[in-house]
Amino acid sequence: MVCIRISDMGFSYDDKLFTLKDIDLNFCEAEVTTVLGPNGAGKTTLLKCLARILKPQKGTIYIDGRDLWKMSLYEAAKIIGYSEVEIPRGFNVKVLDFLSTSRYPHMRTFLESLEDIKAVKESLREVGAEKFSLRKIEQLSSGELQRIIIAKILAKKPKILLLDEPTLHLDIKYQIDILKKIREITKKHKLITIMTIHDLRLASMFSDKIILLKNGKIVSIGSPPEVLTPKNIEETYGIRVKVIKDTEAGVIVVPLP
Amino acid sequence: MDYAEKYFQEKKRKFFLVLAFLSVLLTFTFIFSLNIGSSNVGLLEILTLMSTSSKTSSTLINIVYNLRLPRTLAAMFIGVLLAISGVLIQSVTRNSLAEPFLLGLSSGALTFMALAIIIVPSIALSLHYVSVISFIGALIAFTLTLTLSEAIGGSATSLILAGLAVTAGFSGLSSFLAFIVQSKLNMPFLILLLGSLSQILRGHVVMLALVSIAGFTLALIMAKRLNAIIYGDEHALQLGYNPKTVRIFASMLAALLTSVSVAIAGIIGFIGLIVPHMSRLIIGSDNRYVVPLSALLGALVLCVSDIFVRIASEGLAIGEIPVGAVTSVLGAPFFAYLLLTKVKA
Amino acid sequence: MKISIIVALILGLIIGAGVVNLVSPGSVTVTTTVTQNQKVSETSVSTVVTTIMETTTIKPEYPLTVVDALGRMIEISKKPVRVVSLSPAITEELYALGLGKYVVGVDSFSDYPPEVVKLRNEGKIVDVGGYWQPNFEKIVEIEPDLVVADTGAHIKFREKFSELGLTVVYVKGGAASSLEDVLSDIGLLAQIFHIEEVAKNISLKIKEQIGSIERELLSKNVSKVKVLILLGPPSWGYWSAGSGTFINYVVKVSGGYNIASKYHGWIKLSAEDILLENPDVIVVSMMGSPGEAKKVIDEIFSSELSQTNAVKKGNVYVLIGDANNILVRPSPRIVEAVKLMAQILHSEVFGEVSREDVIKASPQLTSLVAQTVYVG
Repeated sequence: MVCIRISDMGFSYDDKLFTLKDIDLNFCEAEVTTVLGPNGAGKTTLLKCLARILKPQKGTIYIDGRDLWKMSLYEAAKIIGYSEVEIPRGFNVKVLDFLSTSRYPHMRTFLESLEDIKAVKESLREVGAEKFSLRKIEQLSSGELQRIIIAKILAKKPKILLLDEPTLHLDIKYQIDILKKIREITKKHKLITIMTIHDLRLASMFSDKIILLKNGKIVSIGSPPEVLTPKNIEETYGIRVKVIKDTEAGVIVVPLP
Repeated sequence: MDYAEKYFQEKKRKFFLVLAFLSVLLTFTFIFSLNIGSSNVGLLEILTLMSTSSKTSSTLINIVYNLRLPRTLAAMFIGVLLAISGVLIQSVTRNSLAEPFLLGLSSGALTFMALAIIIVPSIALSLHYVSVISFIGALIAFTLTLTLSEAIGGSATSLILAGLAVTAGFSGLSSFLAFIVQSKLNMPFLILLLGSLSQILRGHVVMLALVSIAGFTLALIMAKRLNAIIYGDEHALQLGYNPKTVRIFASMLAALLTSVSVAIAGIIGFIGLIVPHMSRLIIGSDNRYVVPLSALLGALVLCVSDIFVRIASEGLAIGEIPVGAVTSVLGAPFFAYLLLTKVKA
Repeated sequence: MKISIIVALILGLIIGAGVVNLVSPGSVTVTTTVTQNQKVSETSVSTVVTTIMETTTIKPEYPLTVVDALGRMIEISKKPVRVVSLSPAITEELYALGLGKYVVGVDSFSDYPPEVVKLRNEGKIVDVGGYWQPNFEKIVEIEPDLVVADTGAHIKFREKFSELGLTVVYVKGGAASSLEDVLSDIGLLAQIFHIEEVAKNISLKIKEQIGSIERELLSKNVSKVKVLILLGPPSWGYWSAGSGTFINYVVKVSGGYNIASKYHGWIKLSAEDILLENPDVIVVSMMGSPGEAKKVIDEIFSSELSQTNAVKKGNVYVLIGDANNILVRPSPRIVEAVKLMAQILHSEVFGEVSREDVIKASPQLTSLVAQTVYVG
C-alpha cells in the first residue's frame, strides 16, 4: 500500500515569493488525482516537488512514511516517474534507445537484460506506440512524442506517476485514449497518479480526486463534482460559469459571457 | 513480438563486429606506420634482426623504437583522448555539434600554456606542470563559452556561436603569445598552434597512455549517466542521477583529456567532432557503444592522418606539415556539412 | 560519496601523471645550465685549449670530456670518424679544420667547400634534411659517432637526440654574438679531434686579417657608415640582426653602424624605425637569382625606403648566392664577410665591390629616383 503525504509544505523559487504555501495533501494508491488551476498557480511546481526535483523550504513529503528527501536520489528514482523530457537534436536517437534509459534505475547489468527489454516493450504496448518503436525520436509528431513520454514513465515501473500535461498536443481521440489508459494502469497496478490538465471536463471524467490550486494555495480538494462548483471556479479562475453534471460525460463547465 | 529483443541483440552484434573490424584495421595501421620513414626499415627486417645483435641492427631498431613507435603510439592515444573528449562534451552540452576545439578548450589551453611559459620559462621543462596549466586554461575557456552561450539565449546555436567566439579570441591570443615564446625564448611553440606529432618523446607516450586509458575507462563507467543527461535535467534526476555532478565531472574530464593532448602535441581540431559522429552513424547514440567505438576510431583517424603527414612531408620535402592542418582540412567541411543538415532543422 | 570518488580519481590522475613524469627520462635535464652565463663555457673552453697546448706529458687522448656551447659536459669516448653536421657553417668549420674526411652527413644547405656538394650528389655524404628540420631517421641510419648541432636552430631537439642515443655537441652557431663565439666554435671542434694547433692557427689568421682591416679603417680616419641589413627580401618584412648577433659584429668591425643594433637579437624593424635612422647603405642578404635581386632593388626604390639616404645615393646592395652565405653563416669565412662589408661600406678605402653575387643599384635607377624625389 503506497501513500503519499504532504505535510505543511511550502516552496519558493527565490526565497522571497512562495510559489506554494501551506500544502497539506494525501494521495492514496490506485487513485488518479488531477491538479487544476490557472496558469502560474503552482501546478508544475507541486509536481516537481513530488518528483524530488525541487526541494521545499518548508514542510515534508512522506512516501510510505519515509521522508522523500531523506531517501537517496537513486531510491526515489525507482519509485517515482516524472514526465518532463528534453529531446536533443542531432543525436539520431531511436525510440527504443530513449525508452531503455528509463530502465537504468533498475538495471543490474551494464547492458539491458531481457527483463528490461520486456518492460520497454510492455510500456510501448500500453500506449499503443509499438509501430514507431524504431523511429527516430526527433521525427515524432508532438502527439506521438507525448505517448512515448508516458511510455518512458511506464517502462520504469514506478509506484508513483507524475504527469505534467500528458494530453498536450494530442487530438481529442488520443486525449481520451491516453487518459483512459492512465486510469487503467493506475487501477491495475495500484499506482498513485498525479497529473495536471487544462481541460476541466476531461479532468473530471478521468480523475478520482481533484485539487484546485490558486496562487500556490489549495482552494478545494475532493471528487470532481465536489470541487468543480461555480463558486470554486469563479474564485479560482475569475470567470462566471455554469456547471452541468452528467454522469457519463463528467462535469461540464460552461463559461458564461 | 520480439522486435525489441532483436533490436538490442543486433546492436550488440553489430558493435562487436565493428569493434573487431576496427581493431584489425588499427593493428594494420600500426604496423604500416612503423614501416614508414625516410630510411628503408621494415618491421619484418626488425623482427629478423632482433635476434642478431650487430651494431647495424641496433641502429635500425633504434629508428623504429625511438622514432616511429613513440610517434605512432602518441597519434593513437591522442586520437583516443580527443574522441572521448568530444563524446563527453556533446553529451554534456546536449549538442551534437560541440567539440573541444570548437568550444575553445584547445585554444584556451594553449593560451594559458604560453602565458605560463612566458612568466616562468623553466616551467616548460615539466610536462606535469604544463599539463596542469593547460587544464586550467581549457576549463576557463569552456566556462567562458558556456556563460556566453547562456547570455545569448542558451540554445544549441548559441553554444556554437559562443564557442566560435571564444575559440577565435583565444586563437588570436595564443598566436600572439606563441610568437613571443618562440622568438624571445627560442622555444618551439608556433608549431603547436596547428598541432604536430613531430616533437614526441618517449616520456610523452607514457603519460598519454595513462591518461587516455583512465579517460576511456571513466567515460565508459559514466556512459549510462551520459545517456541520461542528454534528455534533460529532470529526466536525469528521475533516473537517479544528479545532472549537475555528471556535467561537472564530464566537463572536467573532457578538459583534462583535451589539455593533455594540447600540452604534448598542440591544437588538433575536429577529431572530437568527426569521430563521435561517425560512431553514432554506425552504432546509434548509446554512449555505452559510442565511447569504445569512438576511442578506436579516434586512434585510427589520427594515426592515418599522421601517416599521411609523414608521407607528404617526405615527398614534398617542404618540412613537416602540422597534423592539425590535415584534421582542419578534413574537419572544417564536415562541420559545414553538419551545420547545413542539423541547424536548418 | 560519489563526489569524493570523483575528486580522488582526478587527484589520482594528476598525481599519477606527475609521478610518471618524474620517473621518465629526459624531462628534467639541462636547461638550468643554459640559462647560466654562456661566457663561463667560453672561457673554460679557451682555458682548456691553452692548457692542453702547454702540457707535454703523454696521456691518453681519449676518452675526453668537452664542454659544449650549451654548457653540457659531453664525453667523447674515442676519436669520431663519422661526423654529421647540421648546419652549413658547421660544415665549413669542419672542412677548414681539415676534418672533411670524417664527414658522413650534412644538412641540405651545406655547399662550401664545393666538394661537399659533389660528394652529396654522389651519395658519399648523406643529406640529413633541412637546417630547421633535420631528418632524424636519416641521421640515425648513418650511425654517426658525433653530431654537431647549432644552438640557434637545434636546441629544441636535444631531448630527442638523447633519446636516440646520439652523441651531440652543440656549437654557438646562429647564436654566436661575436668573433670570439665563432672562434670558440672552431676551437671546440678542434678540441674534440685533438687538433687545437690547427684551430689556433686559423684563429690567428682570422684575427690578423680582420685586425688589418680595422687598422686600415682607423688610419684613414673614416667615419662610421649607417647600415641597414635586411635578411631576406622586403616583402618578408624588414628582418634584421640586432645587437648580440655575429652579423652585428661584422658590420661594426667593417666600419659601419648597424641601425638595428639598438634592439637585441633577430628582430623585425618597422619602416618608421628605418626612416628615423636614415641609413646610408642598405644591404639585403637573400637567396635568389640576379633577376630576383634586381626586382628587390626596384622594390626598395619604389617603397617607403626610397626616402633614405641609401636609396637617394644609390647605395643599395643585394647579396645573393655565395655572398649571402658568407654574410649569414657564422663560419671561418666571417673574415670574407668583413672584407665584403668593408668594401661595400668604405669603397673609398677598399675599392668597389665587383662580384657576380653582389648586385648594386644601377646609377640610372638612382638618378631616376633622385629626379622624382626632387620634382615631387
